Amino acid sequence: MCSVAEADFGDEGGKHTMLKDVALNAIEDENCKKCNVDKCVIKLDFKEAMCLSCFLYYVRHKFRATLGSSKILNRQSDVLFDFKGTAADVCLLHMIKFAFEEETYKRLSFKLKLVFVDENCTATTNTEDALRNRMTKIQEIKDILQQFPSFTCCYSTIADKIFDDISIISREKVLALIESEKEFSSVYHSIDTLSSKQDFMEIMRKNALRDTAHHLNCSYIFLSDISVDLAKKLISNIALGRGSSVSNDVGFLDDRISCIKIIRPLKDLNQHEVDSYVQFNNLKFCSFSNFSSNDNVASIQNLTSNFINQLQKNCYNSTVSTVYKCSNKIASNNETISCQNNTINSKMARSYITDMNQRCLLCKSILDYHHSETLYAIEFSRCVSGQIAANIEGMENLERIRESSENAKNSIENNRNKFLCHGCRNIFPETNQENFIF
Amino acid sequence: MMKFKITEVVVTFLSRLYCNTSLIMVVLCKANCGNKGVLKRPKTSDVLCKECFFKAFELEIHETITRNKLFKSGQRVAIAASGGKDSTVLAHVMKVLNERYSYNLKLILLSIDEGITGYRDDSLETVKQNRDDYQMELKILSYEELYGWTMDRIVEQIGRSNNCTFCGVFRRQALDRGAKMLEVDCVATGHNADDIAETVLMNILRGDIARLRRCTDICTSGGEDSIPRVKPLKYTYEKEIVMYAHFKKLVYFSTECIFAPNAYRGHARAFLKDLEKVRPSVIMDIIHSGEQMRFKDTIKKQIRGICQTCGFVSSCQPCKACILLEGLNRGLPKLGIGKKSKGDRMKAQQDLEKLHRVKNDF
Ligand SMILES: [Zn+2]
Ligand SMILES: [Zn+2]
Ligand SMILES: [Zn+2]
Ligand SMILES: [Zn+2]
Repeated sequence: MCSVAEADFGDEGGKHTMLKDVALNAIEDENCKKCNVDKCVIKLDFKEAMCLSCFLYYVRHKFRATLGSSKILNRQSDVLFDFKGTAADVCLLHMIKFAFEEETYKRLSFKLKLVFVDENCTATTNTEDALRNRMTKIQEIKDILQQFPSFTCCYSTIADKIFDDISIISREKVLALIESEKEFSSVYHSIDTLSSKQDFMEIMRKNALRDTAHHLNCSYIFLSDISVDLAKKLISNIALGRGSSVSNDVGFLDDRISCIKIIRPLKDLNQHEVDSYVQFNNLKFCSFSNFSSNDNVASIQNLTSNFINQLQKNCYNSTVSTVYKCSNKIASNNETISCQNNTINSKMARSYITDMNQRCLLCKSILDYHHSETLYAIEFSRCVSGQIAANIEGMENLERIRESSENAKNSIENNRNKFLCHGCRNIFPETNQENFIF
Repeated sequence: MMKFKITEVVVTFLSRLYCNTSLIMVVLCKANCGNKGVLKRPKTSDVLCKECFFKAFELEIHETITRNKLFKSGQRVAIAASGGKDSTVLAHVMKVLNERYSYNLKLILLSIDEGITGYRDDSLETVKQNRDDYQMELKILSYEELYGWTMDRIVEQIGRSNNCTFCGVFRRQALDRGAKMLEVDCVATGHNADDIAETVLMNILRGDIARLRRCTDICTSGGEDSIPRVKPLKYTYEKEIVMYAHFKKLVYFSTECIFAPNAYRGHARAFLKDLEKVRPSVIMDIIHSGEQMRFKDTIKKQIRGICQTCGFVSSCQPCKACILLEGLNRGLPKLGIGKKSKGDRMKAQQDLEKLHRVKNDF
């Protein structure tokens, strides 16, 4: 029988995610219904066909609406843009540039700085290869940025604190960086699964961005995540055990550290809109963003990505929009960390957080283990196998198992795990990387 | 006869189990009981002997029951019994724990007969076997007597595309009705950890925040008038349930419903199995995530009240079961499937036609 969890689940299958007529996105040779001036060039799902200028107006408006409705930025705001050179990055940057150049009354104004955060240190241990790959990548980013001469971009890495302008990064500098990043890279390679590696890099990238933002006096960070990214991240983060911080990970605003807010202004755009925008504006972008493309190896993140892509492709083609809408309804259960004395410099912030005694050292989200029955149940299972012995009877034994389960859940004897959330504990189940994290 | 065909999953799982067994023959049971280990716990990878596994498995469920205060001494508890592995193991363990730890509960088996020939008649035989083995009272309620319709006849009417909707809605209410008839204090269901993790994923994929909010609850109750449901197997892995049933030689019925199983849920289940292969703890991690999530206040909470037509728990008026039933009785089986407005139009149209027909008679 289709037996499962009936009370919790209306058994209507996947019907809701199927579009009525799998929208034939063919454009007929007709005038745009909006302006009735130009010929249509694009047909988006759930929308009538549009001409070029109406399309550009529409997507730019979407971006402005997302950003504007929050009323979070003002004229004085310093914003750091996490620039990887992807289509979505280029799309967002172009929209910002356009908004900066609008007529006064609708002009957007804040101060924008770009950063390229290099993740290459985990890709290869061969110095020659690493140097060549990194110089190639830097050149590629520089080429793309030539389309936007009014913005400056600084170069930083996930492992090191360097904030030089990307235009002056030399081979010698990169060579020195490669040497200094060995510690980070060995931590990375000591992590035993790809799921954990990817999770770790995601968190460290955010931390590197916050460091850079702090250094450049920026109180906001822009990420170019679009709806499909957020749909995938919602599901994979739930599978990684990060339910308690998921609203920050997929929402418009990540304010777990209140003086450096992470913002996702493109969150309401979909892939088709971004690709078309980039195409219509003849913009150049990098076709792949990841150095280590482990896309074919099974990890929680890669499996999730495949799963969503497959559903989306095979007749459940509003999967992304349904899941992503779901992400809009999740609330943050964080009170944010306020930044007294501007202590965001990570080492200081870490000690500050330690005082607060309730933040994860790695991802900065609120510690989620204290009242969790599920985490207790996990530890109970672990303890029970060692202490159960079928031939010992009595409640005394049970009390002992209970005590050790409770202690394990709260990491009474593990100084490291005490300060990690459940998701981050999963990254380092056995390894001993205390020095690195602290 | 194909009736007792064991599903493929179980077969492959058990064969793997035995491969492992032959490899670890020399390892001692981790509990230091002195026996050889004969199995590897899927949940923790610990090698245990059979007796220690039984004890660990049962003790975990006992701990879940006591920590979450699922029952009170003296209560009458209905066990929702389908004849499948989950409810069979639940019934067995409940009986064992009730005696071992003196819960002082009166346990009753409650089964629903959907009226599916070749599927339900066979699984009901299994439930009757459980009744005799465990010396428990058994109540079987049929869709036929509750609603006047068997699933066989419903499928005749509506075809196979929406039958799971009917079956799910009717069964949910049938359990409530049965519980009321038996005057029990609560109903224990066999939902295991895998089911709950899967349901979290499904509710996200469907964008169903109201259900996402409550699907990880170990105890759900609809309000003052309704009988609570509890899930003692919430933290028990499906693989361990299969293992327990196998080593205890419990009799259970193991086939899929003969009416097209829900394809979409199938995708979610396959996805979860894939995730479990790369990280076995993913099931508990998903449950933990589901519990930790908070939702914006602007998302209206579903208020679960009482259907004014039939008097059972419902979040809408009239309840889904009543709407579906009205549809069947009117010969408009699609009534409850789509939007309510569409259903209302269909009814109005039919009433109008009837009116005309009456007039024409004169
Ligand atoms: Zn137009
Ligand atoms: Zn963390
Ligand atoms: Zn043993
Ligand atoms: Zn009703």
